[in-house]
Amino acid sequence: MKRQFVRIQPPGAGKNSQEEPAERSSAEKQETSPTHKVPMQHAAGPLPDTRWNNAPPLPTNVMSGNSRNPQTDAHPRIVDQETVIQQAISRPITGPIFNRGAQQGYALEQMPTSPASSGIWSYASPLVQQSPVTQSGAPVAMPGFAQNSPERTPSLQPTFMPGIHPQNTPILPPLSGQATGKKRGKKRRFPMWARIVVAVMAVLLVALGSGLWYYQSNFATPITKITNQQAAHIGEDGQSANQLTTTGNGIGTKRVNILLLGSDNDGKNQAPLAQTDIVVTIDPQTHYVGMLSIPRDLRVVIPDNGTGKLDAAFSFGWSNEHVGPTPFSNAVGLSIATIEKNFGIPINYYAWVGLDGFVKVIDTAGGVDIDAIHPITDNAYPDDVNTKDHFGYERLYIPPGPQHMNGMQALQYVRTRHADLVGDFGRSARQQQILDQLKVKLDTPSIVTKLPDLANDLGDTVKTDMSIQDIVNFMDFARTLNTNKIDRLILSPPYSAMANDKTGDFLPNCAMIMPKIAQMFALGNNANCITAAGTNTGSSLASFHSAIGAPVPMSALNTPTQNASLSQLNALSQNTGDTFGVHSLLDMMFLVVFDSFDATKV
Amino acid sequence: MERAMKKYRALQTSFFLLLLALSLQSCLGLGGSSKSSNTNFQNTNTNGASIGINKANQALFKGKIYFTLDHNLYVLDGTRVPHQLTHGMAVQDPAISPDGKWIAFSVRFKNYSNLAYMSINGGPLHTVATGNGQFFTVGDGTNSFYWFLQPSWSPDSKKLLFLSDLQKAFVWKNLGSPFNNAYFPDLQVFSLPIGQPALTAAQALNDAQPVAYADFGDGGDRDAAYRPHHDNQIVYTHYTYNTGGTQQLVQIYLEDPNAIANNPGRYTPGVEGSGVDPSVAITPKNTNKECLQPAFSPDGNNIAYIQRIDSTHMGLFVMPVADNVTQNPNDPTTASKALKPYTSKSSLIQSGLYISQPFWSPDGKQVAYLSYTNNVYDIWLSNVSVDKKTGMYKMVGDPVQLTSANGHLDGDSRPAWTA
Repeated sequence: MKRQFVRIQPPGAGKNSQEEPAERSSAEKQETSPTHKVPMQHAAGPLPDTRWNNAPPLPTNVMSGNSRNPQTDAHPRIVDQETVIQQAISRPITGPIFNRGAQQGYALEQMPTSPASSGIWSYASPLVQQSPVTQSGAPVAMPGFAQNSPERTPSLQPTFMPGIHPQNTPILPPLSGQATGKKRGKKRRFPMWARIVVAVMAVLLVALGSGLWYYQSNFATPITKITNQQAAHIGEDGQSANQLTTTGNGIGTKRVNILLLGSDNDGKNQAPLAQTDIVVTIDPQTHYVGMLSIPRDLRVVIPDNGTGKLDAAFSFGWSNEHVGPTPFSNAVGLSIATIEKNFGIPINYYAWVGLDGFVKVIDTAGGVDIDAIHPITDNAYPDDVNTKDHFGYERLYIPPGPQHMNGMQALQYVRTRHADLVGDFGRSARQQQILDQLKVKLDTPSIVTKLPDLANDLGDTVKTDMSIQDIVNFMDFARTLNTNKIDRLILSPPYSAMANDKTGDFLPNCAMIMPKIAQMFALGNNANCITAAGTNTGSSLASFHSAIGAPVPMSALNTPTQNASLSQLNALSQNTGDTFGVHSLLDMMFLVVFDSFDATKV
Repeated sequence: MERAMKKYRALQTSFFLLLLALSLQSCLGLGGSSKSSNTNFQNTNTNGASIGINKANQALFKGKIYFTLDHNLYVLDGTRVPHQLTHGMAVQDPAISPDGKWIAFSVRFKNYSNLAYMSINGGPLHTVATGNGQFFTVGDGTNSFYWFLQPSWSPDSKKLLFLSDLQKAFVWKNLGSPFNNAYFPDLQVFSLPIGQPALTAAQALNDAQPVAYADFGDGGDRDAAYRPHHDNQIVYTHYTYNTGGTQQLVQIYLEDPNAIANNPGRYTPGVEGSGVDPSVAITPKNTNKECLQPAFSPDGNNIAYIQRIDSTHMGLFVMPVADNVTQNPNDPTTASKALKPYTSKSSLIQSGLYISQPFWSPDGKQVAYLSYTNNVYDIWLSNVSVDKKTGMYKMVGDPVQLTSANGHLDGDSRPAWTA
């Protein structure tokens, strides 16, 4: 018989704490014997219930407990009392007893004088359990209780515990089950609003826990795979390797150079190339943003690998198994070293994107529907995504007009460079179409259900040495940019010219490149360009700037103006639901794939 | 009373929690969209896909409509039960011969496509020409692959009009640098007789007749078709850039299909404004009026076409086509005459999101088209008639959705309709 669980409304609780419920039946009233009005000597005390059976006598040490500190003695007393009935459930009621003892002002009025009601309190009122314990005996304000009986709150002494009657106060028997049933619901322990608060808090707690579980099970692994992936530090000899010690603190007050790399695949089949090589430079103090696109076919000196196309640096690094901890870190490291060696540009961070990730993201989003603005023909489109032949070609024909495109088709549509008489002008128009459609797709509420899949898509196809917060800050910053004011430099002709050796390489025109990159990256005399990156490795190097760019903190980047801009967009990012940074990761991917900051505005 | 109060409180709490749940759902965007279902659509499982066909009387039509679902060819007749005709091939742009016996289409592969036809009831596939080839050397993309696309039948059902890059390796010296030193990948219009063994691309190059040239750099021509009941006239869409090279021009042209063959050396591909062309524009040279996808009415007197409104919206128009404008296309008076129907008699039938690929019923009383609704393409039917006062086409009643293809209908493949 678990009398502790008999649900009885404590007398006095609720708005009618001093009143008999108006609807109380006459039969119930008759059950209240005049002799049971003894507790009325405590003017503020509750009416003891007359329906208690005689309780077993308490041990002496318990009986003397009126003056004991309820916070230290209540438990043994309760245990002793309750073990008579059922010892096993004595433990759950200890908490409420402590707390009720702490809330004496309330306890004196409201506290039931039976262990049964103690048990009720322990399970019915988490709020009470969470109330601070006070030793002073001062009343603890209990909304909904004290406010309804303010005149009684000063009457705090003497303190007595449930089941232990005050002097001359008999221990009342527990209610019979039948009587309990009749009493149920007549005396409210908490007002409705308190119940609602409890319910809301419970819901929020569940939601919070669910959110944590949702993050851990869906996002933690991909984001771990994406972020803080440090590159090997490859020196001038191309062999020495140490982990870069990036701080990962985000954009700071100093100039930051970020190398953006795009590769054909994830390297599962063989060493991938880096078809996209972009260096973004941000000077927070002057608000200058530069974007240097280096053609993959530009002939460069690759440390310890002679000369070759820039895209091969990534591949060579990948193959140098003895240098760094992983092929990928070697590949990025050698790409960084190659940029630094050939141009003197210190690289602070990198971000790498596998083009197959773009394909996956589009497919996860359900494809895109666009009106192809004209027939797309390409007789020699690079067939290098998800294939084993990095140097393979395929032919494209995309009919004009409205149509549905899957990820691969969308990539082809935005990537081909041979389909427009107007070159990149036409390509930009096509990219804008895809971005507009992606915006539509990614802005729909249903995308929430696809976020885990998108995160997984990104997990193997985006890597960076930035933290997720760095990325969010970087993309928030990128979204504020007026793309018309970004200083763009593409080292295509006239900044380079095709070599006459049928290699398809382009040779840098250093006379034009040097002053431009010196200005763009504020390099001064450290700007570099290898004028004769022909067949002889390093023989005609004008200079070699070997220092890896010292990582600079991104977080301190902000001038007041930039700060405002960043904070606004941080807020915007949060408001627009950049859940776990997935939106920023997507934007970073689009930035690399589209080679344009416009892509960050999806 | 007490019970009532208790029940009221419980209801109150439940209501509050329900509101909370709905709020959370709203905030998180959970829950599905309320996509209205039309009970008139009867679903048919075809090749693993469920396709709905509108069984309502409003969707009645005569004849057979051929279309592709996931690039498999289907036919839908008056019973409105789709039947699959091809399996496992990437079929595009079916076209029915005027004699009603054959259906031609292109079959796509990676790097190339074939021109093929078969009985309108299905059966053995006849390949007219194959674009298969090979890449020659690693690293430069040189290859012998070709495209054969968008077939259309000659009035006698013996020749096919089609698009191809058959002359991609030709050197067109008149283009000047850099165009004369590059591949010419833009598709042009050719014709080829059927009924012979499948041709290789090299053989097709010998046998094919060039019909309409393209301009360099914007993808070439599209939508070539003979004009019914009008000898020696074809229509096609021409894509090019303006002379400044910054804005795209998309116009519909009319042309004598034998002009090039009958005047060897006179005409060549080019860039906009670079030379004499045997075609005459029937829509304006205006970068803001991009007209495409013409479809002749069965009598050949009118075309339905699409005009772009903005990046996602398009209008379906019908206009008459001028006669006798292909004999002397470069004459300014002729050019003006050819454009007159566009300016005076073109009427908007319907506009909307991605409305495209118009095609006529055999009796000319209906125009069907693809429309983009609920994020998918479907076939819609609209009844049309000529307004006796204006002499212009107008839509009669509301358009009716014929298919509910759940995303399987191909937006890049124009359906065909035969009696």
